[in-house]
Amino acid sequence: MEPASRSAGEGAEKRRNLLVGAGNTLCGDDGVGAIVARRIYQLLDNPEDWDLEEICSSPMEVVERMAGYRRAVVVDALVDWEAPPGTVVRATMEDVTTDSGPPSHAIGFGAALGLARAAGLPLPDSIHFYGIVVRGPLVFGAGLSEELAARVEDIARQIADEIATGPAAELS
Amino acid sequence: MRTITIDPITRLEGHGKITIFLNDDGEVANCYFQVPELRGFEQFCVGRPVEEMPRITTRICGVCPEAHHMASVKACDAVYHVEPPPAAKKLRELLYSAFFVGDHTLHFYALGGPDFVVGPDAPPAERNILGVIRKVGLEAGAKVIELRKRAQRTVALIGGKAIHPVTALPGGMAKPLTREERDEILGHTDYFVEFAKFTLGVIENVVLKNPAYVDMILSDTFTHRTYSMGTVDANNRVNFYDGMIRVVDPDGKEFVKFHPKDYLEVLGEHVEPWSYLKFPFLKKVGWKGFVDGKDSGVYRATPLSRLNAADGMATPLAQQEYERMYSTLGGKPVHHTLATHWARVIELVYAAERAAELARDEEILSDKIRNMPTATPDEGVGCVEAPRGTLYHHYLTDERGLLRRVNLIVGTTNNHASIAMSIRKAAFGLIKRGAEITDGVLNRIEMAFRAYDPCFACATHSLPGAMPLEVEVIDSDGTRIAVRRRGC
Repeated sequence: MEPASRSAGEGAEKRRNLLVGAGNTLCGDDGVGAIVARRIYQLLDNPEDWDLEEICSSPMEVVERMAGYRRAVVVDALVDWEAPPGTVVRATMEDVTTDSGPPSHAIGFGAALGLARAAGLPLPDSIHFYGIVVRGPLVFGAGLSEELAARVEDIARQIADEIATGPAAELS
Repeated sequence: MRTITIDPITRLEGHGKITIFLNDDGEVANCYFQVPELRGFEQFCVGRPVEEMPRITTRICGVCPEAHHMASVKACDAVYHVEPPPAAKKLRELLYSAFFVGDHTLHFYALGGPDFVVGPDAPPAERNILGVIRKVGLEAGAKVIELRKRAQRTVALIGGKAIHPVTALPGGMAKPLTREERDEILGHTDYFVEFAKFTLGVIENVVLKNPAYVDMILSDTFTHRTYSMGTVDANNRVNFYDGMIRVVDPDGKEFVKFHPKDYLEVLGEHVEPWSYLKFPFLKKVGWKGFVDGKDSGVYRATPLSRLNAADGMATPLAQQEYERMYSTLGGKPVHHTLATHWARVIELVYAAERAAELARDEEILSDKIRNMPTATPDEGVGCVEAPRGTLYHHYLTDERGLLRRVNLIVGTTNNHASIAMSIRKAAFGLIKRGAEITDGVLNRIEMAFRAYDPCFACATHSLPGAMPLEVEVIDSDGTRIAVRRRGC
């Protein structure tokens, strides 16, 4: 039931890198970010330099968890009806905007980042997002769809490789 | 160029949608509010051991997992016919108060506040928490971050985890509080109280001293005379964790006071063909449509409703502000929807003071924190006041404690009818024949919705705590003439 998070908790500021698996593992394919992140963590050459956090909450919590880390990688589910499931979409924090006005219930990622910056929270120098395209409607239940489950290993290896050598590697 | 919206943890298939239909004269003919529903959470739980529910139900929503944790464990207490020891109840309530402080803070500064602090006509890119900080001062942002950190730390110390607590068990709690932990929490709760006072200053200086905002709060466009619901203690004062449910009529007179286990005797659910989500109403009054007044069974369960349903607040500063609000707004009860923001700040003050009070209670350090359940499990209802309304968890099990039936009524569902009415009334009041439908007009209509702090992730039992919303205006030819979308 509980995610296999490995974190330094209050001592997180002593660690250099944070890997976030975002999503609800009780909501079918919505949990793909958490499941892929677990596998990435196993594939890392230097797992001792990383903390793994599974977060199923609002973007504000994600940003707050990043405080004190030098580098963060977020893996999440992404709804995109025009791309096939399993497609990996990449973004950095420069791609995040705050132009949608006040939300009804949960603060958006752009505003959360802006608030953290304004408050002087020590954000990572580098944040990379990996969105894995899933199909809706998402349903309650543990485990991924067969289509997506078959892609987990490939996607995890692809991202782990990029973390080690690709665009997300500049601070390694 | 194709645009992909990336917002980690914010994904929901479909949108909440407000559709406003105009007649041939360009005036509002009708207005509907629709939300998508992802069904199946209750079914997903059937067959599982009931004691797993306090941990499973925290995954319904990423914004208010603590509310589900508490309502669920109280339902488990009832299923096993076990009463937690006093220290366990106090630990639960302290955790819950810390959660309330953090949740109400986020709503005031990030969600509801921008409309008042930055202004309803400001460009969307400025009408957010960053705009609030620019206006109120940079230190406000630092205070909000510090407050949330301390609130989460308090929840983690008692609940084992900051976001999805795990320590509430049938019959009590899994771990006692050490003196060192309590001493740390004392520092946090004192900060809560100071922060609450700071926020009262923001309300006073930025909102109440602006006559235009006060006029908007008091305007008929944002007013509905409905029944009000909330949980009260033995002295009819607001309580978030435990008590009886009290409902007062639109004149403020007590209509019914009931134990949460009897909710099905009091509440009915109306169904409309255009909405997946049901509309609860007071059975004894009956469903009379989307209308307010004493003859309509529509009720509200919001921060403002909780204050209306109670005779006062149980802590001193909150009581002082409670009296000031009613004195300023013309007496009790208040039916101005936008006053819900002020009520929310008064509840923030209460939660902060209550947390400080509980943290200083020596009994909270007792190691007697659980009565082991020994009775055969059967059926139980657990209820708390979630930040956005009364939350019910109702479980039926077999003799082994395996779930046979689950029913949840979440805070936002209580308010579904009144949200639809508030949006409709705002649309009728704000869209005039021949006048341009500006972004500011559509935003004001959305403000009627936002005041409720609606959580349709909870209400539809769907995904963690966010909902894209679309407001569209359709003319008499069926052409969409205005639209406004936002992602979260």
